[in-house]
Amino acid sequence: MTALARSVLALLALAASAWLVHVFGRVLPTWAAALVWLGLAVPITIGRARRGRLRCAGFRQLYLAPDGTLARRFGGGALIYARAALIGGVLGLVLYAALVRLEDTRAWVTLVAGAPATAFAFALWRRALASQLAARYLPEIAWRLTLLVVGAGLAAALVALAFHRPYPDLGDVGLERAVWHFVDQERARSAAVQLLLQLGGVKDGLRLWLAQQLMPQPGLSAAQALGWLIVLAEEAVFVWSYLSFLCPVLIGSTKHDESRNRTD
Amino acid sequence: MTRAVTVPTEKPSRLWVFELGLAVCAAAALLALVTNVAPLEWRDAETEIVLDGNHYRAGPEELGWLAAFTALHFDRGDEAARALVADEIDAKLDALFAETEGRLPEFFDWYYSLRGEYSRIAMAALEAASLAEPGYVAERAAAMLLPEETWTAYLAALEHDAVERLGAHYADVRAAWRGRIEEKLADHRVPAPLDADTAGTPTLVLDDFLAETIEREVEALHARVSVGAAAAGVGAAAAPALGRAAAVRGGRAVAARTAARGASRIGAAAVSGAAVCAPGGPAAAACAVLAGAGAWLITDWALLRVDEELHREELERSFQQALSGLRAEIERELLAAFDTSIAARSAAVAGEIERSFIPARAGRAGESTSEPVSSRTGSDR
Repeated sequence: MTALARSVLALLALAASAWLVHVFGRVLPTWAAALVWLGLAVPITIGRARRGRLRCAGFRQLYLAPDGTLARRFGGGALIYARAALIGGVLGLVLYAALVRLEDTRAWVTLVAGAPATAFAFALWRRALASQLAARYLPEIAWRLTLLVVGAGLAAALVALAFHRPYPDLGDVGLERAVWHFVDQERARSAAVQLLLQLGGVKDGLRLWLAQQLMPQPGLSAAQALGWLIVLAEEAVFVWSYLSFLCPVLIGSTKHDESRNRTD
Repeated sequence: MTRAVTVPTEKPSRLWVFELGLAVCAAAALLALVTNVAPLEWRDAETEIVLDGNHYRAGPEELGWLAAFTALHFDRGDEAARALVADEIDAKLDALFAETEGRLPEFFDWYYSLRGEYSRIAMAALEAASLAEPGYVAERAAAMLLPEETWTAYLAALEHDAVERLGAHYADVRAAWRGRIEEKLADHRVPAPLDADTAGTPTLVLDDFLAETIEREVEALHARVSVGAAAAGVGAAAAPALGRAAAVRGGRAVAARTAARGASRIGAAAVSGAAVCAPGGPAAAACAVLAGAGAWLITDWALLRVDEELHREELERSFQQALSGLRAEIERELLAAFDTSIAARSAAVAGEIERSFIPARAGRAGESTSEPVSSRTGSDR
């Protein structure tokens, strides 16, 4: 089986697991939800750690003497994993809440389509840049470009879907009532998960209420643009989390590159 | 020194079509799942409670407390209602029997009058000839002491006042209940939903809770505690009770007294006729009749006065005891009638509490469902 086919199937499997989080996320007990969160956070952490080690190896190779003390200090060890774990943990929570709360079927179609698209984009970038970039840094650059292209596409699609989605009229209600409307719809078996989902509801309520209070009239205005920029930022964070979840499959093991770096 | 590293190129595989097909099939299967399978929803055990336009959220524990408190509160209200009715009955019967006892001298004046004496004798003779119903004195006492229009008016006033007071009482009970519920649920208050859709949360509207039942049951008191039934009870109980009181003097004593009076009358009449009309010649016979009749009446009158002097107090005590007994009997009957009505109202209230609270509690413990929930406008992410 070709690497591309393996990547596509693996990414589809990850997309399927993300969808399973959506299906079962509300009915899981806390311990199972914690495992699911780990299942989301660990791939993100691994992906970020691998990329961090690649960057660190590049830095060492370029700036540091191989036998120097600094080279040993910048060995790409615990600090990279700790930072990756911190970001992975936070993005795992964001991703859990977002996946569970993503009710729009068209958005799910977009996410599923995004998985093979990511594999294809990564393969294309890698192939296109193979002759131009250092091999050990190629995956990182290919991933960044993939993240940029696929992420922008996914974010644009999700923003477009959000644009055409019906929203409740919050023009005549107070902030408390508006926020409660969204918070009240979030139910989960686990109290921790419910709190997480309700925080997402608070965010939605606050954003929509502010949008409808500050931008009551549709049209092109700075306030409108700001409002949609907020939506875009939300979608960007979600897409970033989702693609970071898919990343380890594409970025692969860095041991080969690192060991090669050490021998140089 | 960086060494140029070539990216390993994939060998073209003959199976690429198969791999592509596999990937497409996997993607299609996932898309089919994504578009056709709804996520599992979790329904928590909360109930939306609406009271005075305010919205509250109560879990099973609060709802259980609410149901128990409501039942207990209205049970206590029923106890207070019984006490209230007892007070009302007591007050009305006090007034009725005070008026009745006020008529006792009038009755005893009749009883110890010649007219009363001869009425009793005449009715006794008619009873003996089976031309009249027995119990003349009792009937007469009932008619004089407890005239129908009097106790009917009192019972009507009792019914009206009791129902009015019960209506006000139950309104107070319900108002106190609402206040307590609002106080208890204050910490569970939530903003009103944007629309009627509360996302599958069972809703318990307490604004009109029990109002209709209480109003209906208070109205039903009129029918249940009917004056007619109570009046029939009074009428049926009064005559026998008073008859038994009159019998204290009207039974063995009156027989002896009547025999004594008869002998005295005859003797007095004979003596008077002979003494007064002896010198009268041919008119002596007529004179004797008149003198005898006069002596008869005077003797009767004198004997009645003696009888009254000797026995009136005893007869009065007997009647007062009879009236006390009658009052207690009527009070028991009225209390029982009101108690039945209050019990019926209590059962209706308990039924409504059960219908309202139990379904809200039952089966609402956390559960998941695969049914798609109603559309959530703008709630994703």
